[in-house]
Amino acid sequence: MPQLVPGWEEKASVLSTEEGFLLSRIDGETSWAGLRAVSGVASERVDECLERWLQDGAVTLAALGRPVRDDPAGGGIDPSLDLSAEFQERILAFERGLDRPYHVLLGVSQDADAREVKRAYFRLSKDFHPDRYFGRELGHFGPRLDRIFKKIALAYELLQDPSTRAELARSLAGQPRGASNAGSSEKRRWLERMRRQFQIPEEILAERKFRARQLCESALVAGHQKRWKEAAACIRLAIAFDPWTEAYKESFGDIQVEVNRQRAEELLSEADGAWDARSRSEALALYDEVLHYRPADAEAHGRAAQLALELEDFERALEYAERACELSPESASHHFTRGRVLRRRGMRKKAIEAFDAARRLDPEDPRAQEEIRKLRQRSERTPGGNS
Amino acid sequence: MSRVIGIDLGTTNSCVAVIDGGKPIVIPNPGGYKTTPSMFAISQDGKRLVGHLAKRQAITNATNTIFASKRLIGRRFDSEEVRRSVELCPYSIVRGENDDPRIGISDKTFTCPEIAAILLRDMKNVAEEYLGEKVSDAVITVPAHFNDTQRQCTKDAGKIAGLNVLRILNEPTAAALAYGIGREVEEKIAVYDLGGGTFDISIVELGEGVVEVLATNGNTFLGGEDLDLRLVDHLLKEFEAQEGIDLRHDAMALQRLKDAAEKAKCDLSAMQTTEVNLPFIANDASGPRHLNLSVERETLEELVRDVVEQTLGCVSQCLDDAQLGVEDVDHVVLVGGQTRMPLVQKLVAEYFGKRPHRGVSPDEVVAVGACIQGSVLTTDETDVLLLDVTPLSLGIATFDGHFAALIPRNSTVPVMKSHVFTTTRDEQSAVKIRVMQGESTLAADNDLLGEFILNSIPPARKGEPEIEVAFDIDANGIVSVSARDLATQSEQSITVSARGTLSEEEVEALGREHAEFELPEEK
Repeated sequence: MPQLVPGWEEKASVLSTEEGFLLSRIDGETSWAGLRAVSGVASERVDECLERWLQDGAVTLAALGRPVRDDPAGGGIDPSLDLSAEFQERILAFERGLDRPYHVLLGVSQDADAREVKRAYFRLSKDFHPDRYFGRELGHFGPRLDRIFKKIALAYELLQDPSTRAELARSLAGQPRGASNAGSSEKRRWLERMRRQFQIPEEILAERKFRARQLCESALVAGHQKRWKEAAACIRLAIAFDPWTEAYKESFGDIQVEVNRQRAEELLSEADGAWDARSRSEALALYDEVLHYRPADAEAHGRAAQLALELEDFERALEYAERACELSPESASHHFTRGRVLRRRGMRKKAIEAFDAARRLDPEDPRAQEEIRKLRQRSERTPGGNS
Repeated sequence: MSRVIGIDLGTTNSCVAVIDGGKPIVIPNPGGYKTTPSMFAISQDGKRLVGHLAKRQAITNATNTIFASKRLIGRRFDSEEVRRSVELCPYSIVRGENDDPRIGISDKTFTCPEIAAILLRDMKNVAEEYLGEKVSDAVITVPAHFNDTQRQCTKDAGKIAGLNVLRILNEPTAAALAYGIGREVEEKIAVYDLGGGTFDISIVELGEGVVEVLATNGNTFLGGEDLDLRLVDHLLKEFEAQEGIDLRHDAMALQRLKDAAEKAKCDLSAMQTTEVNLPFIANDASGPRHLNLSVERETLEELVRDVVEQTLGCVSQCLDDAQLGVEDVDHVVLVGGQTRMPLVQKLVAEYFGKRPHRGVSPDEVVAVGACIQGSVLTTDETDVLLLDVTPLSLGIATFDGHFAALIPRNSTVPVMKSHVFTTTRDEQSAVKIRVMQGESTLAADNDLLGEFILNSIPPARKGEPEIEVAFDIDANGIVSVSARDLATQSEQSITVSARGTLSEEEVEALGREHAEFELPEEK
């Protein structure tokens, strides 16, 4: 049976919601398998967390040992495989995010139409379908590709169907992040039943609620001082200790946005101007999440557009840039970014229009003027070329 | 890496294609034909004949000439389809050791995968002679509605023929791939594939270099052969009315009739009327009799109209599955030699309200698609991705004899689905998971793919334990099933190794036996 070691708080300080929830379930009486069953967290994640806490010394194992792991694959980047290191990174990063809401997984907005959903699915299929890597030495990435494709195919299936889609939207609206894995309702019902079986005694419950209130207060203080990460960790723990108070979940969303934004900016400054694809794509993923909570945030859209542009994901870049311009039509920089994306996509006329808008909004900045000059020059060189 | 060939192993004709100089080409056989009859015979003097050579002597050697064996592959001897073939075929069909149908000609007995292997070997040889190099990898097509056993038998046949089968591909999907390659537009197409022995319909969506199969349907026992049989039957009746002689038990006469009927059917695609002349078809006390009948296109159309109409039932089911109406289909592509028949084209055009596309050769497009998929899998040259579906539902038998589908037909593969089941008796400690494939709600009507037992369920009242059964199909079509007791997390799983009608050892042994037909390697 896993049990907490005194002083564990310092050793397992930065926790996600599910980690926090899991941690709160460690009472020295629930077995490892029991934790897998009651925590509502994927078995692999339970294993992963417990292993880590064991190593960090936050948790010890009493009596019963650990169960056999479901997925012995493990492993990270392996240069001997028939896949580029960048793509291996991408697979690992994408797989880590497999439990994100389905539309985030496909990289479309929540109100994307059927055609957009399909195009996103086709695009991701061309990256992740196992047939694209047929006969290659894939090591542990083979099963990962398989899992990823199945998940995006499921996302596509559910989002294509208006009725399941409406249900997904409802469940997303009513639940905090992380619990959006709306896979099977049977499973959820089963978990509910399991939780009821593992009923928590009154006095422990009261203590938990008290602990949660304290944590929430600390979160507010930290947030006030813009120590967002700390604030997020506290509020996560608060939710873990007291998943019944909805207010905690609401403030969590707000804090998470700031954490993501901060982390993304950190990543970008760490990259130190060098072209570091990995931190950029991580930053983009973080902005993706920010946009999930702040769909009307023009600045975040603009940042995401720039990142996508730098990563040469023009389709996404264009989506973000257009949204940014829509949300904040008076901002020259959004129009400028949009112009750059359009130029890279070879849509010259539209690019010139966008740069023109940027120039009008900010006549001081010579960059837009320069871009227009270059584009016009090129069109003279290739007469008859259109759009 | 050597080149991958694509083989369309048809009921009546087979075809092989390869990518050469960046383009798919259909390889002609030494006789110069791009398709080869799927026929195998042992001549009077004991020689093995394949293709045109077998067809040419079929009349004089009817009982020792095998045709349309694809209609038997992977079936049980007791099935309705085999029973019908036994009635109609001049060669003898006997029960094999594994309850599979086997074909006896010239004192030898062949399993169906073996016959298929002989035909595949011939196609392999055609390719090797043409290319001047050894070929080992192949993509082989099967009707979309073939079940797992039929697919595995085809795979086994490839192995016996010395081929490494990279993928078993659905025929209409292959046709869609051949049609869709290089087309940048987004469109939905219907592939109507009426071949010699099988009918398939697939609704496919193209766009962004992806070919996505939306739904597929069909009938593995409906094709040109059935049309021939209708005409044979008509000719038999006419002749009996004229001459009072029943030719049904005369193998040679039947073979001649079948041949003549097939030819008359083809003629009637271009002409309004044709003659069937079969001199000396019978003999009786009053001397030799000659069959001399004329057949009108209209007569033929009346004889077969209901068979063709039957295909439209599959079409509408398929559209339903794809959640589309006929108006959503941008193009109809006709595949299979039988679609040359004006009646077929007319009914299809009427159904869809648009003229079918005529850009592809109906006999060759499937092999072309197969070699494209071979190239897609093994090279970076062809940038297209095929998203295919599983044509039949997969599920388990429930205690009351029903079938619970976990992966419904037309699910894109690879796919994983799970469902929670429970026990039906108090204190039940084990459950048997029977993995099945098919569309009937009754378990008994579907095919059993495999079974296993999940035990050590802790004692509980019936209905309380919760057993999660998960089905998984990977990109190669391999099915694995696991069952997990959610309370104890104890788990049992199997990989449903699709079983053909032959064991692995039998396939190995036949492979060694058939290796002698390998072409000698040029030095």
